[in-house]
Amino acid sequence: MTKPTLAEVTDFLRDHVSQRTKVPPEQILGSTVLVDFGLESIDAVLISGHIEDRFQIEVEPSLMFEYQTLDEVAAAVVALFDKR
Amino acid sequence: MSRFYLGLSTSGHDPALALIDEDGRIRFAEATERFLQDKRAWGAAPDLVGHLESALAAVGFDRSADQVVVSTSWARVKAALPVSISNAMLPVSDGLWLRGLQAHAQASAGDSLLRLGLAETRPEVRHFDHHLSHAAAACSSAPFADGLCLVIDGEGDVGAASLFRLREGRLGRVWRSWGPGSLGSYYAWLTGLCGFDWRAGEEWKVMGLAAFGTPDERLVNALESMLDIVDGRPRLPEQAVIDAAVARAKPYGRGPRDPIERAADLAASGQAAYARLVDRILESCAGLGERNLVLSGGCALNSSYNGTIRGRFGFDQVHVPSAPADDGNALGAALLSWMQDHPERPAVAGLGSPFLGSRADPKVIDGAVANCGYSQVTRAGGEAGLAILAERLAAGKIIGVMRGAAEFGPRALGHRSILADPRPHDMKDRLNQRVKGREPYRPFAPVVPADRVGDWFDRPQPSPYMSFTLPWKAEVRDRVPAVVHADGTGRLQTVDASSDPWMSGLLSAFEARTGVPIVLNTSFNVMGKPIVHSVQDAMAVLATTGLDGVLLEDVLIEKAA
Repeated sequence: MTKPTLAEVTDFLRDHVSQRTKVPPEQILGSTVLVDFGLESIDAVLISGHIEDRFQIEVEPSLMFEYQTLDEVAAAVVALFDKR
Repeated sequence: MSRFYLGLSTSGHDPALALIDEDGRIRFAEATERFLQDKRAWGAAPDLVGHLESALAAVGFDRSADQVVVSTSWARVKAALPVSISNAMLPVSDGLWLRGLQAHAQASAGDSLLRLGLAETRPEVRHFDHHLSHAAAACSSAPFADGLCLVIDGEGDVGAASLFRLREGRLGRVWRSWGPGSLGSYYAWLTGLCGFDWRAGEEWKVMGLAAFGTPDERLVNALESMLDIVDGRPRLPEQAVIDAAVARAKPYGRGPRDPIERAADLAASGQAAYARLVDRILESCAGLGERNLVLSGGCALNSSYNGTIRGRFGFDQVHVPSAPADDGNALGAALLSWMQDHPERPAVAGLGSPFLGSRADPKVIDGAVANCGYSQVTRAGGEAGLAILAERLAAGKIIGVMRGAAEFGPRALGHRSILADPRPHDMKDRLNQRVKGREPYRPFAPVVPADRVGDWFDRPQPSPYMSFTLPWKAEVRDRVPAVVHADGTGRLQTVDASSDPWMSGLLSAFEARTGVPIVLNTSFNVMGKPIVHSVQDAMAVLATTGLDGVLLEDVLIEKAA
């Protein structure tokens, strides 16, 4: 798969965080720490799987725990394409 | 100097080790439980000093010149991530226990090299994805080089199912599931509700008992709802759905002391729900257009289901390796490690031999002959030996066999087997009462010539490792009642002269006397113990049970008639 834009990944993540936490997407800011929205460890695991399926790139299970905010996770996903 | 690739199964349960040489040949593979004589060897090191030492000796390792490269069957320590443990199916305490064992096994892998003087500092260890290890091991024995490989188990590095595509012997991942949705955990939970203990590996009992029950449609539907299958991936539904299913199933359950038959309908329904769930995974694979399927992971031990796959979902051939559960991952880790160093070489494609373990020590056989005190000792190899053994079996004798290298995987396939005549109606009870001590509802298995399967079974297919249960043809069931299960099926082992000339010859010799080319084959152990490992183990079973004799290589030791 071709490298997605940062905005594509951010939007995708925001939707999934919203689905898992029931927080409206417009309230999920890129700079807010994800656990502050109530994102639990199991949510982080499942979202990692969605990232892998949607963007067809192998994700480390530690991804969502190493990076704290939506923006940081999105940037890390995009960076995976640069490392391929 | 030569380099050996040591693969270790580091799940914390079912530890095992495997050795591959510089040329990519599988030289040794064996579960630690055999060496320790402790079922599943929970918490034991897969590179246990004594076991590793004997394995290195078996492959001719030269400690002055050769090297060992260590690898494990997990990419990481599960407990290193702050992921909460799901209690949807199994108690959190079980999950915590497993994580602790896995962490310890991963952390200490290879340390035995220090004790053996093969390393001066802790060795560098390679770590491989758990499901990829399953897939690599399974595909190395497949009789085809292209197809799909589905791994389903209790849990892997990120989830409990992975799909790989096999192309000219090379594996590429198609997808993997994430999170706690798990067929293995479902079956473990079912095992508990049936009054058995998954930690003791009693999933077998559920499968055996299922033949005595009738699936209850509403119960099957409820049990099926305990997992969602989304694009092939097992996922947990909402907790309320699971709670409702558990509430419906509970009245069908049994306590450990309740009569066994109380759980028969639950076992049958649970097995039916399992079949529907795996069917849905395979349906999602059908669109990929592959004709060959490799199935592995602990769930691939469900021989009842395995026997239903071929001819459906577009699969013409189904392969299940001899060791699909976590013991087999020792081989997978070793293979992946070897492939990492030899990217230009063809992938390892074994001849599929499951006989990869320890051999009987000839000196101890001599010691047994000289000192055992049993009245009849016969040395006879070749045709003469087969004729004597066939004659004894036809006369109703129950004989333990220890020949050649031990099987890798849970099934005795004729090298560490107890053999008997399948024709007498009372043979099953006699075996249980005199030797095995097993519950009467569990079936015994037949060995059948590969080219005659169609004479005896419906849906005939190869089953070299007893991985598939098939229906006996209705008209032959009365001829071999000791190996026909309550539902008319048999978990058969197929043999041919090229892959196993000895067993093939025995079937011919038995047929010459009885007209039946089939022998009953059950594992050479007593209930609660692993399959025998040493000659001493075999002699202990002879001395302490009603076994009539043991065949140690070509030496038949028998009790007085």
